[in-house]
Amino acid sequence: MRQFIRYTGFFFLFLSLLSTERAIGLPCLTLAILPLSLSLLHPWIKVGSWIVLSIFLAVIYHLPFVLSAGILLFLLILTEYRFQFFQRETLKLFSGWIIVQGILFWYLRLPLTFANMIYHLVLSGLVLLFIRYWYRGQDKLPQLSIAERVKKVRLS
Amino acid sequence: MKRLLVTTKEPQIPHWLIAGGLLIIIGVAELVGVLQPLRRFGEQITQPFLRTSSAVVYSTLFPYRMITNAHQSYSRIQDLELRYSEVLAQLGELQSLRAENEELRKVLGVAPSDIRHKRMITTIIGYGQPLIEKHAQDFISEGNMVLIAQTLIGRIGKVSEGQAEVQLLLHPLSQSILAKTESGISGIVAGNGRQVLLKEVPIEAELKVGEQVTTLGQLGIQSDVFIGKIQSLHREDGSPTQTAILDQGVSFYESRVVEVRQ
Repeated sequence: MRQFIRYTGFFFLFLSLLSTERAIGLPCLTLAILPLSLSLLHPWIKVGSWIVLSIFLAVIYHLPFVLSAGILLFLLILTEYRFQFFQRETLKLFSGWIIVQGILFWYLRLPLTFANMIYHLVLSGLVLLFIRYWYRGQDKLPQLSIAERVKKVRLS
Repeated sequence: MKRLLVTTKEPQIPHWLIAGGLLIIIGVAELVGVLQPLRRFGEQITQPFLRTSSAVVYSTLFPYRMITNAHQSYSRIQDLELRYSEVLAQLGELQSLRAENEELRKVLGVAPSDIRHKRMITTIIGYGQPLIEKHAQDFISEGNMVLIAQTLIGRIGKVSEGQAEVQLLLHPLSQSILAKTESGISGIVAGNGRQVLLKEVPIEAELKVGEQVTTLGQLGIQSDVFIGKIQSLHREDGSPTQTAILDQGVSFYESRVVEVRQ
C-alpha cells in the first residue's frame, strides 16, 4: 500500500513538473530526474514505469510514442551504464542530456523567446551541477550522492 | 548489459532484449494506429495539469513582463491615446455604415455578415510551444485563424483530441499570409522569430509608418482581418523589395485566451 501511494505520488509529481515545463519549453529538469528515479526501481516495475511515463511524455509534448520511449530508454541506459562502473564522467552524462534536448528542440520547432532562452540556459547550468554533485559519486559531497546510494542498494 | 540494472533477482531474458522488443512493438502499434485511444485517454488526464501549469507560468512571468515593458509604457500610452481618439472619430462613421450595410443585406436577402464564420474562445495551455485547449465538440481544425483582440496572430497547426498547436505569425517556419495596407499595397506577412514582417513589397511602393495592415483574403483566411500597423521600414540598397516591421499590439505570450475563427 505504501509502495502504491509512493508511486502514485511520484506519477502526479511527474505530470505536474512535465506540464509546467511544457508551458515554458523543453523538459529539462524532468529528463534529468526521471532516468535517475527509474534506475532505483526493481527491473519489472522499471519497465512498466518506463512505458507509462513514455506515454505521458509523448502525450504532453505531442511526440510520437516511439520517440518518447526511445529518448527515455537512451537516458536510462546512459545513466545506468555510468552507475554500473561508478564512473565520474559528468561531461558524457551531460552530453547525452544535451543531445536529447537538441532532438526535442528540433522536433518541436520551439520558438525561442528571450524568456525561454534564459530559462533553458539556467536549467542547463542547474542540470550540469545536478549531474556533477548528485548524479554520480563525489568525494567532497558523498552524503548528497545518489550514485553512492545506488552502490549501497547493490551491495545490500 | 545484464549487469547494468539494479536487480534483486537475475532475470532469464536480457533486459536490453526486452526493452528493444518493447520499443519495436510500440513503433509498430503506433504505425498501425492502435495507440490513438491511449493518446486520447492520456490527453484527458493531462489536460487539467496543462491548464493549471500554464496559468501558474503566466502569473509567475507577470512581474518579469511588467519590468521589461515598463520603459516602453509612457510612449505606448501616448500612442494608444492618439489611436483611441482616431478610432473614436471613425466609430460614428462606421456605425452608420454598418446600419446601412445591414439594411442593404435585408433588402438583398443575404444573411448577416457575422454568422458566416464560426468563432470560439479557448484557453492557452502552452507557451513554450504554442498550444491551445480543444474539447471534443470544438470545431477547431488545421488552418483556422487564431486571434487576440481581433488581431490575427497565427493559424492552427497540428490538431489532436485535446489540444491544438498554434503556428504564430512571428515564427519563421509558419505559413505566409497575403496582406494589404490601407493604401492598397499588398505583400506577404511572415515572421523572423522575433517580429512580424510585411515582405515582398515593391521598392517603389510608398509605405507609411502607422498604416494598418490587414489580410487580403486567401483559402482559410478571411479578408480585412487586422494584422498590425507598420512600425518601421527596412530598405536595402539595390534590393527590388522592401520590408516593413509590424506592431501587433498584442502578444500570444501575454494572453490567457485566444479566439479561433473558422
